[in-house]
Formats: sequence, C-alpha cells, structure tokens
Amino acid sequence: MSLASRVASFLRNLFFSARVERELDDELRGYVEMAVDEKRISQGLADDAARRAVLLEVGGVDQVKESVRDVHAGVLVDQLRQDLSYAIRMLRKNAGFTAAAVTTLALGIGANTAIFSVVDTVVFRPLPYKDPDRLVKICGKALPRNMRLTAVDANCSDDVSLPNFLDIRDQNHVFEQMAADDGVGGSITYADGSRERGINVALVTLEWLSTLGVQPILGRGFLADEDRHGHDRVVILTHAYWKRRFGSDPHVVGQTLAIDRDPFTVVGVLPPNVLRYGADLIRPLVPADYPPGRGYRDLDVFARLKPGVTLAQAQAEIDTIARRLEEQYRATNANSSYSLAQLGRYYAPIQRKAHQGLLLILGAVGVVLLIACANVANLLLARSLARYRECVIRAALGAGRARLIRQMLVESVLLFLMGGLSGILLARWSIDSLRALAVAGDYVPERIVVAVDGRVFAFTVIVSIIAGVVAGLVPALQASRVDPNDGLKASTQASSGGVSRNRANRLLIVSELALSIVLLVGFGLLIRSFMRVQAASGGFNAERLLVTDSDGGRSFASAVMFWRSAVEQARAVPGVEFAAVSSRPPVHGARRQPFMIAGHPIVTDEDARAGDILIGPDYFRAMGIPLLKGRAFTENDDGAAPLVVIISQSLARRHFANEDPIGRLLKVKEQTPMMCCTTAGGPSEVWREIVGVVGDVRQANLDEPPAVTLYRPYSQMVEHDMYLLVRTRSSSDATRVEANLRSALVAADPSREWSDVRPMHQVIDRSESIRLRRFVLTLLGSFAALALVLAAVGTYGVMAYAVADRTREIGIRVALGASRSVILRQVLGETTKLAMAGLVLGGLAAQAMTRFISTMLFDVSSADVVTYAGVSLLLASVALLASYIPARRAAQIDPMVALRHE
Amino acid sequence: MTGSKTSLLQGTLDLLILRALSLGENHGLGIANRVRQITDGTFDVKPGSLFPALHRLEERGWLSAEWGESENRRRAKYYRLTRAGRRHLETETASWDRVASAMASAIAATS
Repeated sequence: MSLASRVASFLRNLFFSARVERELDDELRGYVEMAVDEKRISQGLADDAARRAVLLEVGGVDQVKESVRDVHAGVLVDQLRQDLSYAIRMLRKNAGFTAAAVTTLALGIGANTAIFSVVDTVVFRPLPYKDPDRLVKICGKALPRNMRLTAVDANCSDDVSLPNFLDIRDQNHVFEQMAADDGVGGSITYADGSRERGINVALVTLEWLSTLGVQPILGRGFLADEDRHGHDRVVILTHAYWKRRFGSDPHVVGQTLAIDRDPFTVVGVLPPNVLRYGADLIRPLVPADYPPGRGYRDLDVFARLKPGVTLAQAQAEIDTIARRLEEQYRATNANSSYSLAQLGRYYAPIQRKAHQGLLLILGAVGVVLLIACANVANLLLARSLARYRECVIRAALGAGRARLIRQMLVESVLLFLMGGLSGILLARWSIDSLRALAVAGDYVPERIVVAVDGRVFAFTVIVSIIAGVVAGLVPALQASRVDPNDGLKASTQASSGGVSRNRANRLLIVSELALSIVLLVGFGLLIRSFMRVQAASGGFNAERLLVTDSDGGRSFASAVMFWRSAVEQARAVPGVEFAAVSSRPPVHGARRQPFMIAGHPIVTDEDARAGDILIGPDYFRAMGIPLLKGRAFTENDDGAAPLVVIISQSLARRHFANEDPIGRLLKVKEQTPMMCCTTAGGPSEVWREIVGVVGDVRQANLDEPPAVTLYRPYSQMVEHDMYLLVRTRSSSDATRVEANLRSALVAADPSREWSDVRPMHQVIDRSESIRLRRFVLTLLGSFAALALVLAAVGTYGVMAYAVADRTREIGIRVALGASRSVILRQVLGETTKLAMAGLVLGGLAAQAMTRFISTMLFDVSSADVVTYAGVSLLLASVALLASYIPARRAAQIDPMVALRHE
Repeated sequence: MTGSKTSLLQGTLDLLILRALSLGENHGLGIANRVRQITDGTFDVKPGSLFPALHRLEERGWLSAEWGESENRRRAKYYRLTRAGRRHLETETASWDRVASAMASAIAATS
C-alpha cells in the first residue's frame, strides 16, 4: 500500500513535474490568501499590512517550496536532470573546450572501440554455436591428450573416410549427433551471367547445422531428402559471402546460381561467423556421389556429446569402434586410430601468437585511452579555475559539496559519452579497413564478420562512463574544495588552490609522458626486431630466387615424370642458373615426422621428430644451402636405386655427436609407393641410408630456430603438390624469368596449371612471422604516434597555462631586470624537469611491460640501449618543442602590460 | 522549524498533523490552526515545516488530498486521513503514550 503510493508519487513527480509544481504553487498561494483574510478579519489590518505580516511569518515562499520539493520522491532523479541540463548548457557555452575534449576522446575511445570489436570477435565472444563445450572434433589420427583444437589444424583435417564416418556414426552411443564436411573449390555463375572463380564450397552432411546447433537467419536448413542424388541442388550461404556478394539482400532465398555450371537454389543464409574453414557456401554432401573408398580420407568430422558424457568416455567408445573396424577392414584401417579434441573455433588457423598480438594491441590502445583521459582531465582542471567562482557562489547559496562534485562528474561523464559516441562513429567508419589489415596480418580469419554491434556499443558506453568518472574526479574534488569567504573576497586572482591544482596538472603530464614512453619503447623494440628478422639469414639465399607450384597428379610415376620435365623446361629458360623441386621450400614449414636411427635406442619425444621434405637434385645449390658432408641427390636416386636420405646439421649434431652419420641407416614412416593421403596404402617403415649433411635452414619462420630436418629424393617418394624453385644468374634475369617462366612451363604441358611465379623475397614477406609482426607494428606505431601527439598537446596546454597564470610574476621579474633568455630557459627548464620525471617513470614502466612482448622480440634485448636512448630523445624533444611556444610567449611579456593586466 | 514556545520532537509534528486531521478533512492553514487549538497554543506550526510534512505524509499514503473551496471561496487543497493513516495514527498514539508515561515517571523519580 505504502510502496504503491510511493511509486505512484515517484512517477507523478517525475513525469508530471510541471503539474506538481503548479499545484504546489496554488496550494501555497491559497495558504497566503487565506492567512491574509484571517489576519484582516481577526486583527482588523489593512490588506497590504496583513499581507506583509503573513509573508514575514512564512519566511519566503520559494524556500518553503524548495523544502517541499526535497521531501518529494524522486528528488535525486530530478536533481540529476537539473545537473544534466546545466551540464549541457555549460558544454555548449564553452564550445572550444568541448570540441577539443570530444575530439581527443573520440580518437582515444574510437580506437578502443575498433580494436575491441576485432579482439572480441576473435578472442572473447562465445562461439556462435549452442553449448559449444559439448562439441568435439574427431581426428583421424592420434593426438596429444587434452589438446584443444583452436582451428583447422594441419594435424587434424581431411582425415576420415566416408564409410568410417558412417560406421562410427551408427555404432556409437556417446554422441547426440555427428556431422562431416569436405571442402571443394568451385566457380560460380550468378543469375546476371557474371562468373567468379575460386569460391570455397563445403559439402556437408544433413546433420551439420543441427550438430552445431545453428539456425539459418534467413530461409531454412537442409531437408531430410536433400542428400539424395537429384534433390541436392540447394545451397546455404555463409553470412560473409552473403554480405560481400549479395549486399546482404534479404530476398536472396529462392535465387539461383550455378556451381561449376550446375544450377543450385539458395535456400538459406547462415548467422555470422558460422564457418567451415573458409567456406563461402555449403551444400549437401550426397553419400551416393562421394568416393566410397575406406582409404579415401578427406572428411572433417565433428560431433555433439550427449549430455553428461565426458570426452574421456567418448574417447574410450571411439577406441573400441576403431579397433573393431581395424579388424574388419585390415587393408585400409590397419593402425588407424581416432582421437577426440574439443572443437574450438572451427574456422581458420588463428595462432596463439595472433591471440597474444591482439591482446597486446588491446593493451596498447588502452594506454592511448589513458593518455587521452589525462589530457581531458587536464583540460577540466584548467577549467576548474574558471569555474571556481561559480562553485563558490553555489556553495554560498547552500549547495553541498556532494552536490557540487556530482554536478562536475555529470559534466565530465557527459563529455566522455559524447566522445564515446563520436568514437563509435569513427570505429564504424574505420572497422572495415582495420579488419582488412587484421586479415592481411593473419590475425582474423578471412571470412569472419567483424561489426560494431550491440556488444561493442555496450563496451564503449561502459568504458566511457568509467573513464568519465575517473577523469572527472580529480578536477571535481579540486573545484568543490571551496571556501566561500575566500573565494568571494579574492575577486580576480582566484588562483587559490592553484598550488595543488598545478601539482595535479604536472602529475597528469608526467604520467602522460610516462605512458607514451611505454608505447614508444614497445614500438621501438618491435620495429628493431622486425628489421632484424627481415635481415635474418634463413640458412639459404633468397636473392634471385623464384618460386611457383603445381599439382603433379596422383600417380607416382607420372608425378615424377611431370616434375622431372618441369625442371628441364625451367632450366632451358634463358637466365636460369639452377632449377629444383621441393615439397616444402623455406617459410612454408614442414610436416614433422618421427624417425629412428639404426643402432640407437628408440626415442619417442619431440627430439625424434624431424621436418620431412622431399626434394630433387640441385635443390641445395638452387637454395644456396651449403652441403657440409657427403653428397647431394642426383637423378639416379630413383625408385630402383637404394633408398637414401640427407640430414640437416642440427640433426647430425644431436644424434651423431661423435660419429660420422654418412652411411648410417635411418627409418621414417612412409607410405608406399608414394604420396600423401588418398591413394596411399597403409604406412610402412623403411630404412634409408644417410648420404649427406647440409646446413640448417629456418624452415618455417625466420624468427624461429632452425628446424631439425631430413630430406628425401622426390624420385623415391613424391607428393602431388610441389614447388619449383629457380635461381637466376642476375637480378635482371630474375625480372625477366619471373615474367617468362610460367608461360614456358604451360607451353610445355598445357594440361597443367601453375601458380603465379613469385620472388622468394615476396614469399618471405608474406610469411607468417613477417605478417604477424607487420600488423602489430602498424597498429602499435599508429598508437605510439597518437600518444605522442596527445602528450605534446597536453604538455603545450599545461605550460601555456602555467605561463598565463604567472604573467604578472614574470612581468615583475622582467621589470626587475631578468633577461629574456633567463625567462625562456626557466620555462624550458621546467618542462625538462617534467620530461625527465616522465622518462624515468616511463622507462621503469616499460621495463616492467616488456615481458608482454618478450616472445615477439628477435635478436634485440628488452633493455636495448638504442631503443631507450632514441625514445627518450624523441620524447624530450617533443616535450621541449611543445613548450617552446609558451616559453617564447613568457620571454616576450612586456612588464608594463603584465602589471597593468591585473 | 518549530513554534517559538517548544521545540518539537522528531515525529511529533507528523503525529500532531494526523491527530488534527482525525477530526475531519482540512487545508494547510486550517491544519495549522487546529494544531494550535488542540495543543492550547503550545505549537505554532509554520508553513516551512507544515507543507514538507504534509507532502511527505501524502506520499507515504497516510493522507490523501483533493482540491476544494474554503469558507471564503478560496481554492484550497484539502487533506484527509486515509485508512492506512488512521492505522498509523493509532500505533503512533499508543507508542507515544508509552514514551510519555515513561518520561513522566522517569522525571518524577529523579525529582
């Protein structure tokens, strides 16, 4: 009852405040009139004498009203509304100040919003699936225990055959549902007749969507009979593809398009970021049309655990089924096992490094926001001088300290929200280019949709409010510390409280400079690492080296022939010095395989694994890799010759410390007769004789230690996808050959496709380590630059203010004979002191922070003297430059003007 | 906030207003006059404390108000006890009695 009436009054006071106010007015007026009537009658006073007496008794109608208002429910909200409208008036009145603050904040908060939307999509946001914890990936081979697959892992993709998938699906009791998919390329012809090649199509089983727990946002999923031949001409578009190619057309369902000339009907669109690797669209996998071989392992399989079933229980069940299948189908399933791992983000390889980099950038952009906050706090502080008298007057009229602080905080939060909203606009405007940058840097999978959406909006608003309170608190406390007497007396020179305000100003500037140092040092260390990586020797010579690749086909004999003739064709191109094939040239990494050495105990740890590369004759010469011992491969090392292998120096050092490796035997798992994956028979193990030792190569990334590697001749063991490497005689030859090589190869065999010929430098430039670094550097560089500008503006503001504040003092000193250069030096000296404090603090902070980037440093110490010296010099000069203008102004103060100015 | 003669204990004003209104509905000035009457002129409630108290009691739901016309045809806001207000008056009166008699005996004992 009482509560209801209070709520009712609350709402009435809030929404019908004009009426409440009018009624209060009427009530009091009525009171006065009646009291006047009474006085007139009872005491026989004249009308105006009675009125005077009554008003005296009442003691001020407005005060009475105010005290009535104070008991009204919702008085706090009402006051907040007053504060807000007052704040809006103030901000509008000081348009210059407001514009400066909002611009600063828009940059600071906008950068945070943009970065957050990327990091959130990739790192924080839960997967767009139902109960993602119950989703598991089923790998066609043994994996280390408890491994969490965060991506399409080279260890675990394209590795289950259709019959095995169907058997596991039908025989298990641990999965609620199971699904499989296979990626195929395709070219699409659209309704308007235009064609697009290289579209990724995924064939998916019917349970695919329901296993993930995903509903199309438009249209429908696949129907029960759409995996039957003749009924399967339907596709569902991924969100990114729908957005890119169809402009997010809401009427796309029902349209037709042709995949490799077969017409398909669009029946649905997936929600954002439900991806099968890089698929653009999905269509039903028709079991009847799919290669039926048990050895044809090309499916990716995942499943949803039944509620309450653990990964270990499921693994045990799958082991049993695998053993059963193994006995049943010896020829294809011998030694095959399956391992389960949590299904992570099932789209593309986002490495741990990338996560680290993204978090680092989020931290860096947070520092930029801190600097922006410090700048705005400085502006607010400077303004609190102008506001001092206002506060004094309000305090004298009875406003409490809390009320004053609240008023100031409302203003600063409002300012920050304005900055935040502008920041969101900035972020929306820049998000696409940021995403493109992140995709190029391998930080974000290509087909991920990044949007400034509700989640990001909420983040920005919360950050703005918190930052607004924090940045507004110091100036608010400062301004509210008023002594009415003091303030009203000091009519013009209201610089009381100036000492502590100045101290706060300086403290803010020092922290700004220190924070800038942290960013600059981070950037400096990373850019030096970057240059070292670029200059690093990979153990090979990238000069005048060209690369291209092709598919040699799926039979051993024809593949070897194809590659042999390709090398001959290449060698015949004028300007070519050497040509050779390789399954994995440097910076492409290498599959790691276990191996055994005859006469050595069996080791099962990482030490007994080596990068496994298939190469042709002349490979080492083409690459500039030194042959340290023994011989290289020749054309004679073919299938009929004894099996041979060449090892890297690090392998030799580790496993043949005091022995000569040449002539020793080494065993690797291999599938005979050749080839990876599909046409291979069961794996077998064969002994190979070591015939040579070569120099170490940084096989995967130039910033990683060289990999232990073993090389086998492609003529004894071949893969279908291989690379052709060509070294030219001179750099002008390189340009010429780059243009001619592909046409020469195609002319020799028009049935084969070759990729573009690219210089090795370009390959390295696009390698993971360089791309990852470039992205971090681009952003960190921009942020460091922004920080520097903000710090410079802040320093300028504080010094200009300090000089203006002391015009009179400086005037007197000049009048007393201080020379202009002394004044100039003094102001600059003050800046130097601030800069020194900032440098020391920043240097210490940077030292503490470098551990976050220690993994990204390469050949540069985290205490790199050059970086620290350079950064200090840069920041000190910027600070001095920023204070030079106010310093000159101080030096030019005319004593007469200054003294009159008060 | 009080009459010149005696300072009011916290809550006393509320009780006086409720008591004054238990005799029938009235407007602000009427309530002030009635309080003066029933306390034999001890309490003279000024508008600065009367109106905030009236609005507070109204928002608590102990009073209801409506606009009417006074004896000499002035527009006035008339307050009346609600059922909850009457109940509140009873409990407050009871507790006031307890306090008053306790105070009386305490003062008698020490003197």
